[in-house]
Amino acid sequence: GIDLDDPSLYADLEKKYHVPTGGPSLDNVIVVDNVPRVPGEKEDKLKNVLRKTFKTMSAVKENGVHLVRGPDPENPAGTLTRSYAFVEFETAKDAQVAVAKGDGYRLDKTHVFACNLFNEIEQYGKPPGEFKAPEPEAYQEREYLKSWMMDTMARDQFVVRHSDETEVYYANKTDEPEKACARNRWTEKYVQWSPRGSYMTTFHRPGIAIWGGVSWMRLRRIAHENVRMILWSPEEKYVITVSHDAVKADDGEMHNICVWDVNTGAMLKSFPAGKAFKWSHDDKYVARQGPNCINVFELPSMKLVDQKPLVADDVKDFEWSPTENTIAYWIPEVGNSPARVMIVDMPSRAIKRTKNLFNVHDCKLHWQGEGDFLAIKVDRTTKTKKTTFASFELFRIREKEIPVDVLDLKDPLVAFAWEPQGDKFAIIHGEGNTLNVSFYTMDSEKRSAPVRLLKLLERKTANRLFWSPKGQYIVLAGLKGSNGSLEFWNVRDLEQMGVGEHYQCTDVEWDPSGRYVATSVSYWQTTMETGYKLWDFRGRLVFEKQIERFYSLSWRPRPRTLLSKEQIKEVRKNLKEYSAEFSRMDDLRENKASRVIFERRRQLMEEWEAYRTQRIDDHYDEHDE
Amino acid sequence: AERTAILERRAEIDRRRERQEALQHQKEMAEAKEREARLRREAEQERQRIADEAKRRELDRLQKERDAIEREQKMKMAEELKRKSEAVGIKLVVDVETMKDLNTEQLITKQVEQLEQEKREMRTRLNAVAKRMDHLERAYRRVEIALMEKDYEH
Amino acid sequence: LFDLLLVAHGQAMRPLLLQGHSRPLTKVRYNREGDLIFTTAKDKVANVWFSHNGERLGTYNGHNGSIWCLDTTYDSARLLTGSADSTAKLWDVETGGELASFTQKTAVRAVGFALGDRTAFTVTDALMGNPAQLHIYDITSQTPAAVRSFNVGDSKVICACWGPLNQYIYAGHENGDITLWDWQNGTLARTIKEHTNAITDMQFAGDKTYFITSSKDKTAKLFDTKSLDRLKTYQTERPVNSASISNLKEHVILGGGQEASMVTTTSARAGKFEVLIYHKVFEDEIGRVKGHFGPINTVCFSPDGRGFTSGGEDGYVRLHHFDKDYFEFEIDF
Repeated sequence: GIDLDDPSLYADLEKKYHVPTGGPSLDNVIVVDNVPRVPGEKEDKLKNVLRKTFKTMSAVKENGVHLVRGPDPENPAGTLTRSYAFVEFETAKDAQVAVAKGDGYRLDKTHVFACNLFNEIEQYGKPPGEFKAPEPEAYQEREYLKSWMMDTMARDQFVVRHSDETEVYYANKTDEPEKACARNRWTEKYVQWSPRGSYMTTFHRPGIAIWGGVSWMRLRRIAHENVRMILWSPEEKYVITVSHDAVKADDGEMHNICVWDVNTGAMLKSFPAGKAFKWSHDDKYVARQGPNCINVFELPSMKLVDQKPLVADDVKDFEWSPTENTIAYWIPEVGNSPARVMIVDMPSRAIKRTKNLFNVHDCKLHWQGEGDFLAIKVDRTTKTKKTTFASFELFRIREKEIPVDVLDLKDPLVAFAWEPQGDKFAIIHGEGNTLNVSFYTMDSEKRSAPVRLLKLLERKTANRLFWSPKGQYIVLAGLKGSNGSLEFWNVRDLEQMGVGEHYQCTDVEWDPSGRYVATSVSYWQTTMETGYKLWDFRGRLVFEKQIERFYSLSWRPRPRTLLSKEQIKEVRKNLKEYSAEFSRMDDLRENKASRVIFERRRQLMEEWEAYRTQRIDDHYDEHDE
Repeated sequence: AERTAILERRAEIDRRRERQEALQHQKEMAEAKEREARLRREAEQERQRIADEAKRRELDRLQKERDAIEREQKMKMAEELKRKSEAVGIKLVVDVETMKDLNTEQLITKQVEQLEQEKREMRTRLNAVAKRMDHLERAYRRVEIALMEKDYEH
Repeated sequence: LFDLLLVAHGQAMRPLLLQGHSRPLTKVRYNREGDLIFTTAKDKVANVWFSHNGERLGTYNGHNGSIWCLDTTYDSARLLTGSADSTAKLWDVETGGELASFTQKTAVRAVGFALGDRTAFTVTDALMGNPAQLHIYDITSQTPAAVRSFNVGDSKVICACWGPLNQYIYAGHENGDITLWDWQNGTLARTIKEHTNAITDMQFAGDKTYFITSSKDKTAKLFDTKSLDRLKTYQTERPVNSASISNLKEHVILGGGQEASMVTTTSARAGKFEVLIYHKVFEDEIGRVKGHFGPINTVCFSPDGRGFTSGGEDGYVRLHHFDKDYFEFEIDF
């Protein structure tokens, strides 16, 4: 196990960022920036001004104001005080009060104080301007980050978090998963895979740690206290950390969000808390909604593309296409101009499509997994603003001029999901406990009826939709109040393959291959009967386990395949030969497995019978006595 | 004497006539009574017949109603079976018209039979799909592992 | 293979529902011949039923508190019950008449007739300065005073049975201990600690050469009567309230479930509380029988092993007769 209280875990990092101080505690000292620079003769006067100013706020120590003298840039012979001062207070508490009150204090027109605790500066204070990328950690023999993909059985991995345990397993076809790695107190919160499965991220008080390779070695630590959540870039080059604790940046703003380069561990930029960051599919850009604009930053410089934001007045929301550097966003109705959906290419800023919408109350953007379609759920109000109704605007991105189909909804919408690879989508609609599920396809037979209803399933207990990552199969799940009813559907053939139940089920997740589905009951939601079940794609239960204080199960994502299109075609063509061989292997293994089981049983039975014989003999002996 | 004889004979005739009349009267009375009784009996019988007839008609009506309800129920059941089967993507072999002529037990048997049959077929089909999925993944992996050696060196 | 049994039991086997108790069941037990079933519950009455059709034969009225335990004589003529009303009562099985009442200082947790039916024990709870005690009674004379009483330690006794040939009384404690008592001298003969939480039930195999205990530690275990060696462990996912050994097949049944107070969504889980069937030798679960609406408090195999009875927190007694699938089912080895 790993002792996370072990200070050495982060000691070297902390040291690197540490300004050596020595001597007694400096908890009662604050640093004041933007202090006027004065020549030597005015030094005492400035000290007096500062003392008086801070006396009105908190308890300043006698002779507690310290100025630092530096060269006068305009007079090489003379000196000027530097633009910062150190002020000592009676107690640490007094210093904190002074920071709270003095930060932003306007001394005169040009001098607005920025106050910080000395110790905080020492901990966090690396103004980006002075930021130096830390030296790379000592060279280690890098392990292959895709080692789990070398499994000849092509099994997928998942990680289970329960109590203080973190366990990684290989999912087996028919029996218990096989443990690949398990550590006690590996993380203080949860664990998170990177999007291609190369890394597992753990969360600790001083920061996050990134693990991987066949021996699960620690590859990187990132020092950011109390990280609440992280956002990996799709290609795993960068990670964004969001913390509860704000860091004061050089501009005086409080920053909770940092963007890091995973390979070097360098912080690229920090931001104040606020709207979410969204990565482009190729790690080239990261974007964040601003007032009347979308800020698109280039990586790794983290500078705005062409030094200017993407102007979009009153923009409400935006989403990147999952396969291209295309942004879709919408702006609401203002005055006489209608609401608008815009599809814009980056970095050219070329507008690919504009669509005006009227009486819009709200919009939700949903890209299909391959970026072929964009669905926008539009909530509208009637002219009288009394009732709302919804419709889908369905954009065909690949077609010339991007035609839009409209699908009006008669019932309230409960859930929507695109088939990740394919042209179908599913919706749950209706009210109350028994809802309806509809499957649609974008595959239009004729232009007049572009979106086609494939099937309407009435009176279902499902309230969530989970498509297989490969498409075609979907799980309709009744989570929360619906007690965990599960239906496994084949949407291509419109047939229900199986049903299941996982009482109080809180989470459903497909494995990356689309062969298995994990359902779980998390301790975060309920304390009773927590644990997980593994099903195959058609709803056959493969394995189940109840675990006390079980928190989560998460499948390890897979890297992009190394196979070329031709190689894939070749394998498919020769599947019969492969299959024959695999079947033989499976039969052998099965025989062996059942032989082992039979052997164990036979032995147990023999032991039992021997025991019984012995015991019955004893019994008669006793009676004979 | 002759007069006496005449008077006596007349008197005798009168007596006879009186007796005759009395008998006649008695007879008529008896006949009237009998007729009345017969009429009453006949009326009673008629009433009974009408009542029986009504009862029979009512029973017929009820039977017809029952038949109709049963028929309707069977129809409903048949349609329900059809709906249920189709809801999970199963096409029925037997059509609703044929099914409505079957009795309830036959229908249930049919229902169970058909669903079992479909289930078996689906299981076989899905077993093959599951196997194919697994084997395809493993086949890809076999080719891919060879490429990974090179990938690592990069 | 295991699916088969599961299906066979879950659906085809139709149980008889015995409705005669209004509160949670505490014990179900068959008489020696297996033609009668005795049940006790928190509703203060004991019932007797015909096992072949589930018809109620009679009720034993007289206790003033929950009845915790029962035992019957070899000839099924007498019934002994122990209650929270601090009495143990001796009943005439046939007439329902109360023959004797043995007054105790605290609730009676377990009772048992010794082989020969001349002697019986009761175990009482520790309460308000009274230690947990074993009391020995002379049933022949029906003397209301105990022949002998002795303390049985600090941890409450939850279940107890006479061992073979009346040599020892076997007791299961709240702290998980199993103790053996030399009842003639009032001394502790042995203690083993194999369970980590309260022992909830103890039942002997037909020939008394081994016995099973169930525990809140989510296991049931099989012990050799003489050596007290642990023979088998049956691991489950919930507290086990009762366990019983088949005299016909190599099977044991386990009943349990989360504490009543923990089950907040009982109605949503209607009928989902299961009796688990385990292979006695292989320790594998081989089937489940659903049906109760709450945790199962007590289970018992019929002496011929052709059926079993379960009593639940839901106040129902469910009487199961196995169907032919059960008898045909064999695990290959």
